Amino acid sequence: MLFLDIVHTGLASVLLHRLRSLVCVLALLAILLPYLTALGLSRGLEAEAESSARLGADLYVAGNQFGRMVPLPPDAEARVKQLEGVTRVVPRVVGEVFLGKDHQRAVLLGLPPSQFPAWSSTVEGELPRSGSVNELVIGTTLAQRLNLKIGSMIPPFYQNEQGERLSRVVGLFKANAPLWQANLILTTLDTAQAIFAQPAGVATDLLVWCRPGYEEAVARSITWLPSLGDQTGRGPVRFQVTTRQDLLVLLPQGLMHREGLFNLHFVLVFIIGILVFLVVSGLGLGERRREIAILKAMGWQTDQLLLRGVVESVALSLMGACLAFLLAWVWLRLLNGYGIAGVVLAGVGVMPDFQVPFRLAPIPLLLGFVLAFVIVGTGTVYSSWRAAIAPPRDAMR
Amino acid sequence: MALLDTHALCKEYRLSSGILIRALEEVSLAVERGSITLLTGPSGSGKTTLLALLGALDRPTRGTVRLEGVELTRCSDVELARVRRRMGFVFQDYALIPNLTAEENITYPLIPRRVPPAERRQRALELLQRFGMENRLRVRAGSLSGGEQQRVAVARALAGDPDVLLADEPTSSLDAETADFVCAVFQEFHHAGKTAILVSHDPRVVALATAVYSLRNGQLVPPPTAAPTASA
Repeated sequence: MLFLDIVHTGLASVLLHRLRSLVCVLALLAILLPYLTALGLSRGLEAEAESSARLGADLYVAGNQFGRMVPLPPDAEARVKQLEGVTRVVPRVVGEVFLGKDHQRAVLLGLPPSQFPAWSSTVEGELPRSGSVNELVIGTTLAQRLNLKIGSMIPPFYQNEQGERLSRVVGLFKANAPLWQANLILTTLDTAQAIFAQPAGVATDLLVWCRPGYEEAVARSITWLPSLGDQTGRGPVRFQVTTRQDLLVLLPQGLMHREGLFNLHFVLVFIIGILVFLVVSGLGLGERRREIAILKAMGWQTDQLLLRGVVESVALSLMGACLAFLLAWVWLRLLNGYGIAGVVLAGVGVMPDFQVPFRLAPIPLLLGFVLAFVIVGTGTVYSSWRAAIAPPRDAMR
Repeated sequence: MALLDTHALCKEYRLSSGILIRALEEVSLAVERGSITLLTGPSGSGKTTLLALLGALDRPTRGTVRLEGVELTRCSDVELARVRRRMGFVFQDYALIPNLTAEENITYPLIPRRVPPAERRQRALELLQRFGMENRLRVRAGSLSGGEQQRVAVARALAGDPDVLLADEPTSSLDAETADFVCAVFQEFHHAGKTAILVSHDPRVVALATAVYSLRNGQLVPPPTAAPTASA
């Protein structure tokens, strides 16, 4: 009963010092909201990357020469296809291009047209075909930045010995398409080969699907395949295989690196937060000190006063963390990560023109609450303890 | 055995300027159970300091304070809290918590005394009714007038049914009628066999005293005298 009564007075003291409580919650929001939002974005990215990797090929085969990635010669596809356990091999060309006068960076992906039906649900307009004009499907961010619409013509943005061609936008990725498509250009394999001035049949990598249970055996067989002759005459090209499992391990590593950097930034903010909070908790400190002294003079014990302070801190922390979580959801879901998406995601502007991926899990909320409690507790419980251990008459002065 | 007694009690303060102030010097006195003890003396003579030391609100620099033979200077924090629960304080500046209502100011000290919530509210209501303030039950203490605050402070001191009442100028902000009423309450308290230690210049309060101690410059002068009008 006594415990509950003291808890009640602790909760009541949140309303008792309204200005201080308001400043505390606002300070917590300033610290926790960017943290939870960025963490939510980072987790969303991770989930999307994982999902893409799981839905992708079983094996990714690239060429390796002198320890560097190089394109695969034309006969690579046929060699991999004949291995036991392989059900499908898709060559692709992936490379970086720059468009527009501001040299907007984009990833150009060339695939055989037979692979396009899988993309149709995410594309508005038509899918590209091979022809005298390069037909392209453009990502939302690119389209917005370059002011491109379906039917827009793009002057040559590359140079090669076979000459340059005009390009036409035949489709746009939908706004709800995965994040990876925001800066993507999709075209046919031969168009991509032409843009990158590669001979027919050359691919940057092969996507390999296997019969269930054959993945490891196929991966091993590919690495044992004899080296391929390089068309440039610089020496043999070896096969390099990345399995889906490798990818699932590698993808989070990259994301965790980003998350780790963010956590480091947060630790710095956190340290500053404590200092700020000590100052903020000084708001009404004299009044608080006197209040504790009065209660002590009336027979309250130090532990009871500390419990009251802890309950007040828990209540403020919970309010701050829950509010930060709710606002993080609003920021990511309704405001689509306005402002913060550009900080966490490379190449994204202030207002993303695609639905940003995010995942607000309970663990960050719990973490946010613990951090909030440490911050508020440092400011509140410490000052309460200082006032409570002093003789009441001293603290009442 | 005296209920409360002090021996060679000293209290010193050091100002921020480094000057040492001797608020009390070698004060030895005894407060008998069931008495009304009056502390008198000019401003700055150390009456409030002595009251705080007798009420375990402060620690002496030297000397001892004993309650029923137990030395308060050697008590732990928890033991001191228990001692304070046997006492009721009326501070000169009332020491109410301004953001709490009159009712809450009275009921909060009852929480560590483990008084059930319904009884706490009942006691607060009864006391405020006695002091003619039942209509101010839910008013924040900071919004009350000085006289009202003083009545709430007296009510708060009495709410815990203390063994000892310590009051510093308890009638200073009250009109004559209310001051008479408060004196009657103290008299009633005294008749119940309880002990009161009062600091006051109010003749009505002085008239209640069964023992008087005068202080000057932190020292007792002259030795304790019996009050002229013992009213027990």
